[in-house]
Amino acid sequence: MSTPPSGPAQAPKEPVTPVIIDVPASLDVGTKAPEYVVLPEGKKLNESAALDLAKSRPVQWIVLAGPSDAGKTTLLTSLYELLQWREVEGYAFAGSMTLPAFEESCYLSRRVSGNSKAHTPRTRYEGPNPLYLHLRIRSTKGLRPFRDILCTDVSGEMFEHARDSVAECKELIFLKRANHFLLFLDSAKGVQQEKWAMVEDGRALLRSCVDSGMIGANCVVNIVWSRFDYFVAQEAEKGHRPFRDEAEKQLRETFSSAIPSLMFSEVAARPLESPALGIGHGVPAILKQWAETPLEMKALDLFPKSYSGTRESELFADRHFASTTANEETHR
Amino acid sequence: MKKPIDSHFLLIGLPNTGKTSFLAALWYMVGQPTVKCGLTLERLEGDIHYLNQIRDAWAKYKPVPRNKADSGQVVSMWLRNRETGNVGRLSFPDLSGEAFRSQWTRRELGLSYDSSLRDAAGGILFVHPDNVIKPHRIDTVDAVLEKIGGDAAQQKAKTKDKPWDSETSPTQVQLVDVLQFMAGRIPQVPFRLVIVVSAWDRVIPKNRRPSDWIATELPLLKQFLESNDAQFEVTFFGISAQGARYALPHFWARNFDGSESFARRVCEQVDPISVYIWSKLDPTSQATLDLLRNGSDVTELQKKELAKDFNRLMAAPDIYEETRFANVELRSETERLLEKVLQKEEERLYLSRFLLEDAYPNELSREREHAAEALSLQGKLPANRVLVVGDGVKMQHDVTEPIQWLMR
Repeated sequence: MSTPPSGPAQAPKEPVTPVIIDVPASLDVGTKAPEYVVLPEGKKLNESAALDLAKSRPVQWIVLAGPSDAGKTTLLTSLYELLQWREVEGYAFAGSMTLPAFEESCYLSRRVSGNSKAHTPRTRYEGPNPLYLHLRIRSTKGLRPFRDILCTDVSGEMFEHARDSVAECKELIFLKRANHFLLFLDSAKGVQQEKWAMVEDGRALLRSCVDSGMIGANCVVNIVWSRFDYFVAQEAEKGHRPFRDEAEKQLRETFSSAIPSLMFSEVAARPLESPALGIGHGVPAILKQWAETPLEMKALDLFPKSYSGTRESELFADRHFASTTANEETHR
Repeated sequence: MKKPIDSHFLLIGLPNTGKTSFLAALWYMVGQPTVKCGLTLERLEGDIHYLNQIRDAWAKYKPVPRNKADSGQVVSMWLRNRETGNVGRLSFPDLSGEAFRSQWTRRELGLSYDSSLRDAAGGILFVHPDNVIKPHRIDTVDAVLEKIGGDAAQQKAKTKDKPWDSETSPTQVQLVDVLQFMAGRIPQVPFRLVIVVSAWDRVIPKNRRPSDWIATELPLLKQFLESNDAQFEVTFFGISAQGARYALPHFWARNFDGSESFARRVCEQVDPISVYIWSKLDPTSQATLDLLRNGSDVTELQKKELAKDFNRLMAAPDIYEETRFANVELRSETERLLEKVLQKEEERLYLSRFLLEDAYPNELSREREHAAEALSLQGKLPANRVLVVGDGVKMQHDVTEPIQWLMR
């Protein structure tokens, strides 16, 4: 951050109370001409930026895990799209540090793109460090607490190695920070011959995460049947219910002792196979769960080696004295 | 008289949201001793040439000239409330709206703008019903019905990985992001914010409240403001500063007065555009153009029918083709519309009209038909065409009502 070499003198200001995006009071002109203040780009947050945010307020860390094209990014964009039109499950949109990133992800699903078929760009694999989308919501009821949510937006490839190796899984430090871990089982594959292989892949990934100690008893694990419209569309003809029941039974038997908060959800973010389900089927329930699960503070000492932030005890104090968290305590 | 309070307020908004018309009406009203309004002008700082120019156009029921670029010079009005004696300074750092939008598109904020913002106690944010980009998804209506087939290659052909264009983002998203930036720079909270819905005379149904309009048309913005009520103290007004729409993009009979040279080029089909137009016109219109080319008498009715046929042609989506317009020098407005994804029918008509005017720069009349409702205003006193709607409005023709709310 630098101060412009020339330009009008700026009188010192009283500190402002930032709401969502903290533009520094000192002028950051970067490499541009000095007549401009450079504003945050609004791209997905890297770990360092995400941790900076967590210093200022409590956040729900959400990890979306599963193979490529299982609908992880589409779930996030459909949640964002639902908020474009209305409150969701009693929660109103209150801000986002990554609005341009959301917009870029939604663009190919919008009419303005000129496309005839909705499309979410595939998230590219860019190494073992995740990127995050940020959303701030506020309850419309009671004391109206805020809730900040940081969701990973990572490529399915990142989890392939973790699935096959406990040692590799341990490299994914961000997993340990997760308050919610969503494992995606793709229903489009669940209606095909390979369905048990798909379940087995999911089970192997979850086992690796548990065995490596990266997700533990305090993390809510939600196994999501994504693209659920495929099941609905073929239910009458092929009857997939017994398969799902059996898969869920087996997964419960495997993990119920290690993961007390194990649950299953169905999501059809963009239900082209069964349009009657409506856009974002199952997504509001997931948002409600993120908003209403008490925050666990345990993961905050997990900083990557590159992070040079303050110590956990200081962060905790920061969080407690942040003005926007007054309601949070009551909520918890 | 109470001790004057000197507070600073901003007039802001995306491009073409009605700021200039509002300002023209305001400058007219506060400068006229005979006009009843709640505020009076104490003094003015900056160049008043442009203010006078827009005021004069406004008073004569003409479209106010747009401020094309941000001069970087801030003009300020000191206004005094006639009842309370409170003084407020209203400044307008960027009437074009481009600097305001560049916060979203280029992620930068002009220093002069920033400086204005950092000592502001409040602001008026304009939204125009005609310029709202909504977050319409492909799969909400028609594409849901159009179930995708099994052929993956065919599916792929239906999508194009076009790069994201931030200018096409929904209006409410752009506004929310800018308000987030503002929240980080304002000197004190709550920041008083008036949301003005411009061209209120055209909002349907007439009995709607401006806050309801925002809730329906810009729901994300409404949620954001309600969620951040500690940072923004908000009220809503609907304002019609012009009273009506003044000009239309359509052709009308008078466009074909003295149009021999235009008719000649089209009839003789000497260029690709003339070939295209000729092929699209019906035989009656072709015959009328033939008469015009020869300087023969053409009745008013024939010209009206010709205008109607041209308007039908303008509504077609395929006028523009790169090869067809390869030798045409397009003006910047046309290029801007070409780059934009046009959602409004009127914008598409303007694009077609601009394309035709650019193709026949010396042959085609650029005179616009005045909207009938604008002509009907001519009998009214200029100030009486103003309409102000909102909670607590005392005088419905008083364009200063939003500023009074800020200064209260």
